[in-house]
Amino acid sequence: MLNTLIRLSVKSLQNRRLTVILSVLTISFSVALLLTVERVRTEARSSFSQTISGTDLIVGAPSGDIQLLLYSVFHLGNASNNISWRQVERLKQAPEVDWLIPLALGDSHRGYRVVGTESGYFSHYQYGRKQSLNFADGKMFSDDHLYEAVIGAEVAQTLGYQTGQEIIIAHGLGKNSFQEHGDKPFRIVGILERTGTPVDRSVLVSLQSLEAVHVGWGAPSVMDIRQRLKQNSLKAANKTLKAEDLTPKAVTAILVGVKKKTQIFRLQRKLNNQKSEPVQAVIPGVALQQIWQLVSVAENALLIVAGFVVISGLIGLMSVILTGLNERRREIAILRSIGAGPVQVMFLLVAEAVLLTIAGVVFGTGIFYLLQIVMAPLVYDHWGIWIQVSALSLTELKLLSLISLCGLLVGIWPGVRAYRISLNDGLSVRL
Amino acid sequence: MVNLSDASTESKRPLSEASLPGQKNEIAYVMDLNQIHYHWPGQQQPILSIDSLQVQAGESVFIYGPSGCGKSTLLSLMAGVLVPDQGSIHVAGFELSSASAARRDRFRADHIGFVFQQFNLLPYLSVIDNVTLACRFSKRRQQRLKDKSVTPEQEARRLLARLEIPEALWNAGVNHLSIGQQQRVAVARAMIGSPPVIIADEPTSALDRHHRDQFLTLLTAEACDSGTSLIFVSHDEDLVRHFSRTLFLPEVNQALC
Repeated sequence: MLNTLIRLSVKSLQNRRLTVILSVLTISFSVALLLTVERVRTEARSSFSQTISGTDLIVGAPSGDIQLLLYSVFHLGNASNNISWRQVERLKQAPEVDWLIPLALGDSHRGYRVVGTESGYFSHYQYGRKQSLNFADGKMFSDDHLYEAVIGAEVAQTLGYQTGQEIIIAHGLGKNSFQEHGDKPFRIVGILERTGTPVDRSVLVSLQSLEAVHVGWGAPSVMDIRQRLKQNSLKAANKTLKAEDLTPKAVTAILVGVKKKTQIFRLQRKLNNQKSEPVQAVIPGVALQQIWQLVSVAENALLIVAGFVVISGLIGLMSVILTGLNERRREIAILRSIGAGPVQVMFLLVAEAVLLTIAGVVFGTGIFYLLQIVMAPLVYDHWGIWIQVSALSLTELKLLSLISLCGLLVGIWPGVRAYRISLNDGLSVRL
Repeated sequence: MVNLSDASTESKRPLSEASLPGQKNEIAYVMDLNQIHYHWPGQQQPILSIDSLQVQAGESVFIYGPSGCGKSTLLSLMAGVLVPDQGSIHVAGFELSSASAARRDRFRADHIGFVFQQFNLLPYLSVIDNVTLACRFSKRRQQRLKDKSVTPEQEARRLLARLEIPEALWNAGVNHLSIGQQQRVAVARAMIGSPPVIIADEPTSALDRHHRDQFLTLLTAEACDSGTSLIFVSHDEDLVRHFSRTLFLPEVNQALC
């Protein structure tokens, strides 16, 4: 009997193909939207929190916790100020500090950030579940040689670079910066494996190299002039610069690892209160938490909007079924005449709503995956969030079953109306 | 009191379910209405008030009368869609008037074939599927076919052939059929699995004279062959000659007096 009713329901739906397909499409798109919002939300979150791990403190010029985290780790926005090299050296001497990675930002190569750092970057920087960086090809730049660069996987892939190739870095961050350091090309010595973090889109060079290309750049400061004089007097003849002359003057931020986790807060307090040079130290996890608090409002708003879109899709479905009901009084009377009870007639309409909703859910999930495959590279290009195409999560499955359940609810009203119609009309059909 | 069964001809057919022993009536009535009163909800005046109305097994009864004399209501009562306010209705020995709604629906599926005035078929099923649909709602009908060791499909084919539906149309959608053909397919659906009663509610009103006569000939012949009682309602007196007994509803329905 159940078989017969479902078969009838399917046949009846096939007969009303056009309106049915349209309402299924509406639901599909709303389901795809909801899944996408949910997926982007969780992926962005995990992508963000996977970017940095193992780093205990980020030290930079005083600004805001979030700002510091964003520009130092995510390469979003710019530093308001630098911190002096003296500070780096002082921190290196601090008893709590196990390792540190200085970062100098501000240059770019064809839209990708150039990060000046030390070779310690490759041994101490960790992402995801405490994974270290690996080389897909080549090796790290040496601290003794100038003009060597290690590039991230994305840079290598997009620009088609290979080790041994020479690149020119530009001052500033624009994609079309005219201030190129054309006279001092960098040689690519290594390509990193993909990490799914902003590292993929970075060009890593040594601080000394970065210092070297900047010698004589910008409005000459007293230091610059002094340097230039020194340069002229010492090395002008052979035009080579040695590392010892190129101690960086300042860096943008420092990533710090402490010896004992218990020392994090003490070191943070010490740095934040230090009188000699004002700096700010933030714990990455804490700053991330602050970002979530900020973002969660927008996140929830998006989720609610997507939820309402699904609800409106379901209401649309209900109205389609209800509208069809009057034209189907004949059908109901026929079914009644061959012995279908009002409950069975009601079941027919509820089954219809459920079938359509499930079709919408299945189709919507398909659209969602299609969208992911198409959109993932674009999202990654623009925001650096890598959206992994993976199976549906438990939350997503729960959302989908909830929607299917709503389909059942949507069917109940038309079902009850059909029940009433079949009782009132009986075998006399009013057209 | 009008005892209408006196006027009926004696059935020559073996009696179906109605003739089982231990049942209420001496003579097996396939339809037995007693002291029926019915009024629509919210109305004071009863629309139907019948002392007694019987149909014997195998009989074909023509009930006619002008519009508004309670024909449709009477059929709804006979089919168990409505229940009388008073009185009893026995169909094939089963007291329909006191059974639950679900029981009445099941009983209708098993024992009553119904043919409407028009648009009898589900537009989204093929001709064959429309006919076999009646079996899907009734285990009894399936069983009766199984006893004759035929499948619903075979029986549907036999009935369609018998009712002169061209074989080319059997698997087509019902929209390809003329109204006359549609009505005959509806008869096949009502007949499949040999229910004891067929109730037809003005099934010829949309047909022209020629098709009407063809329809009636086929219908009464098939009903006669399968021993099915036929209750046929119409306002068209011309049809009288096709039936073994005729009732003028306004005479029977005291509510109209």
